[in-house]
Amino acid sequence: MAIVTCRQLGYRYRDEDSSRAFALHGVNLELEQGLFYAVLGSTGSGKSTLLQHFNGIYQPSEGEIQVLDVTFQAGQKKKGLKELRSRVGLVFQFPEQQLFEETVEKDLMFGPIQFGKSKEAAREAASKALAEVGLSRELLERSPFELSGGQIRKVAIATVLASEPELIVLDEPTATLDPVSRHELIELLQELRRKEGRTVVMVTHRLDEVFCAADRFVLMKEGTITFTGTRQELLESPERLAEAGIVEPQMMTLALEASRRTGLPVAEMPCELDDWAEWLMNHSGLASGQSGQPAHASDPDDDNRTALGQPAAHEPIAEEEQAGELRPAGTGEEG
Amino acid sequence: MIRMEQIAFHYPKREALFENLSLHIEKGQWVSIVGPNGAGKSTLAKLINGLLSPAAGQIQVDGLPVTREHVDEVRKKVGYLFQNPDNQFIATTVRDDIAFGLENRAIPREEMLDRIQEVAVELQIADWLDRHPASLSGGQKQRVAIAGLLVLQPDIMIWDEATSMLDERSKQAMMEQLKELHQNRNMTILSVTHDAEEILASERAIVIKNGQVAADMTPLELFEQEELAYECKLMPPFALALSMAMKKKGCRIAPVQDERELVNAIWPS
Ligand SMILES: Nc1ncnc2c1ncn2[C@@H]1O[C@H](COP(=O)(O)OP(=O)(O)OP(=O)(O)O)[C@@H](O)[C@H]1O
Ligand SMILES: [Mg+2]
Repeated sequence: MAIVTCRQLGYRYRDEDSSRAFALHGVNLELEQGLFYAVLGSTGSGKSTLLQHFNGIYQPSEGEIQVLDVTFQAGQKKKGLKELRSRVGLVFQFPEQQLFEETVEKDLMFGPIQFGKSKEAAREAASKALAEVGLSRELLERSPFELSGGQIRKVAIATVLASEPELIVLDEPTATLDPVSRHELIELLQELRRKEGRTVVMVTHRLDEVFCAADRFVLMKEGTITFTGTRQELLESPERLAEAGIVEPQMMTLALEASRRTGLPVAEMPCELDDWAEWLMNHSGLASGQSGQPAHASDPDDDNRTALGQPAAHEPIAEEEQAGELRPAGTGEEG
Repeated sequence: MIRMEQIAFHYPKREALFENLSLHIEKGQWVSIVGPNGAGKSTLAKLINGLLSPAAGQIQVDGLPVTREHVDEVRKKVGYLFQNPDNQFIATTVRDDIAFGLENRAIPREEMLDRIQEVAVELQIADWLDRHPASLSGGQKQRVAIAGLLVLQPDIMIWDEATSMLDERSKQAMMEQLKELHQNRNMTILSVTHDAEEILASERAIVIKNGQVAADMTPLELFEQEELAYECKLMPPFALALSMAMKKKGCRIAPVQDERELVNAIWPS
C-alpha cells in the first residue's frame, strides 16, 4: 500500500522571483508502507522541500501529493492538519527549529499530549524516546538550549519518536552525530521498520551509512527525482549516482571492482564488514597470508547474513514481496 | 600558537566540564578535535576564541592571552565557524553578509568588493551573492559562512563541524580547500569533526572525552587502536576498517586509506 503518492508535484518558494526555477518540479513518487527510504542529492536539490510536503508544512504549487488519507492539491490551502501530523513525524534539518519548551522533558511530552495522551502516558513516552536515542535521563530537566549540537539533534529526533508516528521523516538526522551514535540511530530506524512496520524516509549526504540499511534509494537533482530503486538496481547503474552528484560509497566501489575481477555478481557479495573480510580472503589471492590459519569459508549455519542483492531486513514483513516495486505514480489517472 | 594550560570550566549551575585540561597546538598544524556528542569539543573551541572564559587556567593565542582586554585582537587572528550556520548571518544579502566582517576592519571598498568576488568564485557561491541568506539550503548556507570567514584571511581557523551539512562533493571540495590553506598559507587549522575522512586528512587527532584529552596521536594510529577509537565513538572508514579486519583474520595487508588502495592491495596488478 502506498503511504505517500506525489503526482507532478512542484513547489516554488514565495520569496523567489518567478524567473527562478522551481525548488521542486514534476515529482512523481510513490512510497510503500513499511520500507526504509534513503533520499540523496546534492546541496539545494530539493530534499528538504520535498520532505516538508509530507506533513503539509509546504503545500504544492503544482500537481498534488497524497499522504495517508490526506490529499494536497495545488491552489487549495489545507488546514486542520493535527491528525495528519500525529501520524507523520518530521525531524527538521536544523533541530533547533523544533524545540521551544523550557525543558527537554516538556519538549518531549508536547507531541504526545497534543495528540491526546494523558500526562502520565506522555511522560512515559518521553523517557522511552530519550532512551531510544541513547541520551541519559539527566537531560530531562535541562533546557534544550543548554545542550551540545549532537544532543540537541538527538532530542529533536526523540520528540518525533515520542508520538510514535507511522511515517517517520528525518532530514539529515545524522549530520552532527558522532559515528557510533549515527550507526545506532540507523539501527533503531531499521528496527522500527522491521518490528513495527513503520515507514522511514531519511535524507543523508552519506550513502555509505545507509547503503546496507535502506530498502529503497531516491536520488534527487535540481528539484527533480532522477532515480528510485533498490540497492541491486543502484549497483547495476552506478552512473546514476555520478549524474546526481553523489559520491559512490566505498563498499559499492569495492563490490563493483570485485565483480570485475572475479566474474561473480555483486548481488551475492556481503554487506557486513566481517563477511566482507572473509569473502575477499576466499576470492582473492590474498588468503590467509603467513599465519598458517586457513581462511574459513562462511559458516553454513549462519543464514542471518545479508547480501548486497537482498533487502535489508532479516525478517521480511508479510507484504514485502508485493511492496517490492517502487514505481513512479501514474500521471494519467485521476487522483 | 595555541596554548591552553590547566583549564577548568563549567557552565552555570552545571558540574565541571573540564577540571585540568592542557593543550598545545603548533603554528601551521592541522588538528582534528574529535569525541562523543556532548564531550566538550564546541566548548573548547569557544574558549580559544574567547566566547567563553575559563574558571581557572590560561589560554594564549599567538602569544596573546585570551582575556577581555585582548579578545578583539585574538578574534582578528582566529576565524571561527559555528556548528549551525544559521547562527552567523546578520545581513539581508549574502554579499552584505560577507562584507560585514571586512567593514568592521575598515578595509577600503574597492578592495573589499574584489576580495568578495574572489572568494565567491573560489567557493562557487557567486550566483547567490544577491540572495537572502535565509533562502539558501542548509549546505549552501554553510558554504557562504565559510566564504565569510576566508575573506578575512585569518591565521587560525576553527571549524566546528563546518562540513557536517555539506554534501559529499562539497565536502571533498572543502577538504581540498583546507589542504591548500594548510600547505600554501601555513594556516593553523582546528577542526571539530566526526567525519572519518576529514580526520584522516589532518595531521593530528585530539580526542576529548570525560573532560580529558583521551587521546592525542596521528589519525591513523587512533583508528588502528580499535577499542580506544570505539570508546571515543569513532568508526574508521569502510576501506580502512576492512583492511584491519582482514589483517586480524591473518591476512598480510597493511592499513589502507581508501578503497583504491584497498583494491590495489587485494588485486596487485
Ligand atoms: N549553554 C550551555 N549551558 C549549559 N550546558 C551546556 C551549554 N552548552 C553545552 N552544554 C553542555 O556541556 C557539555 C559539552 O557541550 P559541547 O557543546 O561542548 O559538546 P560537543 O563535544 O561539542 O558535542 P557535539 O558533538 O554534540 O557537538 C554537554 O554536556 C552539554 O550538554
Ligand atoms: Mg559541538
